Amino acid sequence: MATTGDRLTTQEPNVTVQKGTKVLTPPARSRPTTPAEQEVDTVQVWPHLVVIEFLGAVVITINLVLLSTLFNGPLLGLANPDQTPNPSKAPWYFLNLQELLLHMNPALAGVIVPTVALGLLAIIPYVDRGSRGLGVWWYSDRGKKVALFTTVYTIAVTAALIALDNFGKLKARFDEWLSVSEPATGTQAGPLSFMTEALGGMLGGTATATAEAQGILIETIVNWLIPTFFLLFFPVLLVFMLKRVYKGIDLSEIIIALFTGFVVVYFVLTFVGTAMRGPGMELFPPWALPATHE
Amino acid sequence: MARSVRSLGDKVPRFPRPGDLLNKLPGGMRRRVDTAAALGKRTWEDVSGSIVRNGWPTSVRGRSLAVMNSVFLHLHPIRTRPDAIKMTYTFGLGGISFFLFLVLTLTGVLLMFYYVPSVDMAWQSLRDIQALQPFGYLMRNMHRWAAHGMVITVFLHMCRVFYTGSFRAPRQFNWVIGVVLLFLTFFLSYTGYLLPWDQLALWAVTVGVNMVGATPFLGDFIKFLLIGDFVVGQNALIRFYTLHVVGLPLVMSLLLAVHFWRIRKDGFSRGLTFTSRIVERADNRPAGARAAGQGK
Repeated sequence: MATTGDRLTTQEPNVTVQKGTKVLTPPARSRPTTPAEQEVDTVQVWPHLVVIEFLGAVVITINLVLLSTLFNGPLLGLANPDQTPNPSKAPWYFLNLQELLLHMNPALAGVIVPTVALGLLAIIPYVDRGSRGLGVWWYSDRGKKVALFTTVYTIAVTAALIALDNFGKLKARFDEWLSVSEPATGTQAGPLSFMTEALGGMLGGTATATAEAQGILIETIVNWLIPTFFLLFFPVLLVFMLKRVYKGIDLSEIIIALFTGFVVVYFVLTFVGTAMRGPGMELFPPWALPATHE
Repeated sequence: MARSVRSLGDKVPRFPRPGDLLNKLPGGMRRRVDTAAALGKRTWEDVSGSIVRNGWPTSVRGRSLAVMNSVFLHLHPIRTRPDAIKMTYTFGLGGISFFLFLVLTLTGVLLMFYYVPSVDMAWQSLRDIQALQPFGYLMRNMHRWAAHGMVITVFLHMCRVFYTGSFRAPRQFNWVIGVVLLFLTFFLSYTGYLLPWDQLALWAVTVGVNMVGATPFLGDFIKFLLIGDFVVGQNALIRFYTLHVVGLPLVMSLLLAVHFWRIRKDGFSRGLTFTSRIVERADNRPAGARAAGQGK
């Protein structure tokens, strides 16, 4: 930045472009600095912005009144603690979390994942610290492509994972694999029965302890380890793929990908939770969703 | 042609004006009316001038003063760059969110006049609001739809700020405040969800409360803190009501004030303002590194 006298000019000097470094094209003109220059480059907030705000308020009010005249807010029967509707659903903006709840431990789905997500959102500016891209939609051409790529990838992965858990019946499978041989009921020993036996031995070795051990292992593997692995694996895979597809991708673009992934997951899970989960939280196609049983 | 119209116009009797009557009054009375009128005019100018100091702004100076002297408008800068207020840049999402917050406050206060936060009366009071109170249905519907709308616009506003890189220096902390405001918006909407005390409300909140109850180690404690009982009942209703109508709106208003104040100080992310120029001036990396956003 060159400072001439008291005036501040931000005209970038010619920058030597080295191979492998990214350099913005210098701005076409220097930014206005003196009051006279600013006068030319800016408009007065009254009326130019105030009018937009006023009209915006009017348009929203009209639309809200129309909407409220045409559609009534729901009011069902008086709350009855003895009568649980099937399914019981949270407000729509939490249905993504309720959807997660079907696939993992409640502590992971309802508390850890949202807390970590909000925490990661909050630290974005302290991780992506460059000043490039300030005030520019999509950061760069590649940023836009990265966001599009991530959208398609995330929809595919999320849908596949929901389908895997729903149709793959992971819980039933692990139940089978972890079961120990019981001649009384004719149950065959599963390929992972050694884990159940080892943990059952630690818990006392009785039949009850073995059954308890099997329950703990299923919960740990199906509701903790597998979901945690997927939650970490697919973002990492995404970054790895992006680095392969878009050579020279920078940190800001990777963060665009991760943020886009978060937004798309939020949207997909909300949609599935709202429009595709019927009684018993079973999966239905959106056009054949049965009504709630009271 | 024009001449004939004018001459015709002179012959058409004129519709009487208030001044005509005044001119016909005898001298003494006319003076009194004039004095009274002058007094009235001066009083009006005194009163209106004390409320709005600058009159309708027509000059550059007047327009600047209009923004500077109003507590509501002074959150704006006096001048801004044209492309900073382009609709396709911000889509007005932050402004829409705030406007919906105001609508929710207004309709919420009106609903509070009739709503009773008790498990025996809440549902019936809402039925009464809808059936008996003038515009009751409208107020309740507006409150509900604006609440859903605000969740959507706040979320979209976050996306807009992210994809335009507006979280970058010097606005990092304002982004963090924004994330807290997003959380508060969810929490406000969620606490309001219980108040109708119908089947939808009770079970939706029960699902959410059970999720909170799954917190490792602290689950039961937090759940009890939130609903004041082991199941969602009267204690939960009064806690949610208090949070919904007083606690959370207060926190939210405070954070909104900080959020807007910092936007005012930092300028629109496309504008160049005092603070951002200070930051640029303090940034003494080589120009190439600065342009590429590196080494900071």
